[in-house]
Amino acid sequence: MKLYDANGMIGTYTRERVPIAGEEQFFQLANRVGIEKSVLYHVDARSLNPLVGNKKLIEVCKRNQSIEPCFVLSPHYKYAIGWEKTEQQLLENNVRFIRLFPKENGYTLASNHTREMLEMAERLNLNVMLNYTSIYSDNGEDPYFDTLCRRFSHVPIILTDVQHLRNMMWYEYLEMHSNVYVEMSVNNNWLTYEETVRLFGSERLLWGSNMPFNHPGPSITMLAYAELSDEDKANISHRNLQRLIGRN
Amino acid sequence: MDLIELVQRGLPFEDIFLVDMHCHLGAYNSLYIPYIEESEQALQYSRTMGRMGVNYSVVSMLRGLASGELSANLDLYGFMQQDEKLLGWVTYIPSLITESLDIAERCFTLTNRFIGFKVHPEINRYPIFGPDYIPMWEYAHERGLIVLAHAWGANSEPSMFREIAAKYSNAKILLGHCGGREPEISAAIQLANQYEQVYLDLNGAFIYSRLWLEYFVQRADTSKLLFSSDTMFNNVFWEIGHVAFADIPDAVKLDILGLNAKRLLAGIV
Repeated sequence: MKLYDANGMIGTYTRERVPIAGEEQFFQLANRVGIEKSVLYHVDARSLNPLVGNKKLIEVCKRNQSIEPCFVLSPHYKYAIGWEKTEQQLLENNVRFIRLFPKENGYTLASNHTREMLEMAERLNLNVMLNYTSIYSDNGEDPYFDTLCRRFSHVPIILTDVQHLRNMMWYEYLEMHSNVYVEMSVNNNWLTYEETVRLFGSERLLWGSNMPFNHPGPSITMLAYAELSDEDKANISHRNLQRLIGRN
Repeated sequence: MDLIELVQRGLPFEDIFLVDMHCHLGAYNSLYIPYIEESEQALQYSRTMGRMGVNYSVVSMLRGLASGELSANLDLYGFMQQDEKLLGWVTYIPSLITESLDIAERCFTLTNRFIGFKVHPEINRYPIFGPDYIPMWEYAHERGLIVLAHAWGANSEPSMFREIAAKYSNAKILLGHCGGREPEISAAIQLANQYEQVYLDLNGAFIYSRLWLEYFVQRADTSKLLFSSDTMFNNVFWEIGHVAFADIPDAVKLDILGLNAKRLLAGIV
């Protein structure tokens, strides 16, 4: 099974102890399990400052051709260098994916900042990634996520690490918005691939590892044993992400 | 062919003894689970077992925990008769003591393939050490049964089992989800290391704690680690991935996947 990983974070995470300590260990494991390409963001762009972390990511990309860079965008950029220069950086670095961490980077999904970043994604034809905890809290899913999906209906929006206990909600997003994709690394519902493909097809499902938080083995095993056609498996394991990368 | 190669190809574990100690049949309120009919679920789950090569799955009925339909345990007996790979847990509801014990008596008389009780102090919102669980502990202690107890949450965190383990030493205790997260996982491991009859049920512990199997193997008596999936909530393939890809000796993998359970269930499997 050819594996393209839609969900990984590179660097040393210090907000909790994670089993993969850093870059070297990350790539060793990725190679060992046969991951050919990874869409990665840098931990420091999430936990320290997006401008600093994204710069580090570009350095990592220079050392490893199998990485597709995913910039973390936030209003930090707007106030430090402005959106125009931010766009230039995205273009100069051939970035196809951006990721938003509203809670961790100090703004909200409903803010004007988010709208501006999605407008940028629309102009530059970028894919936007959000992890499920960015749209979910004890009160349920943020209703503004739905609004954004509708308003930016031409922007591919990828929900990563979708949660098994919330399957009826991310089913709804797939049902209501043709621009929503889901990444399946930690979704361990019984028959999840079979049911999701039956309901919505395989074209908007993405395989991912969620490294360094999770071992890639369980998500490999989930897809390997799923009762799907070879075509559907190939879509999920690499073809859909390849299409979003848009270079192959 | 080694385990990793098998799972990467999606091939069944034909020569590996595999026991899934923690499964359910039925529906649940907050989650979409395919197949509303339990009989259809059982049929589909049998396909899942076949794809993976599971030798035995030990099942409890969600109706017998989340609703008052304790007769679901007898329905489970029907499924067990149709599929010899299914073993059973009898559900016990602390607010329905007499009814639970009546059904338990009928089930344990019917077959020794009912291996013990399944209790869920969080679904039933009652502490595991509370007086309404005592009749169940006494029953299990007298007959040497296993109790699979959800052990994760305000009513069931692992340290609550300490006195129970000391008092009902003939009842075997399987700590569900191994405590779920740290520091409860360490408390569960410590109990299993201390008490001969306390075992650790692994499902759920990986996904929520983000710990890998190596962590458990380094700290626990590995003869106490039992493989499980929590099907229908979760997926057996996910849990298999944690064992197959773990950086631990193959012999320990085989113990966890089924040989430890085989020893625990001697005479039944």
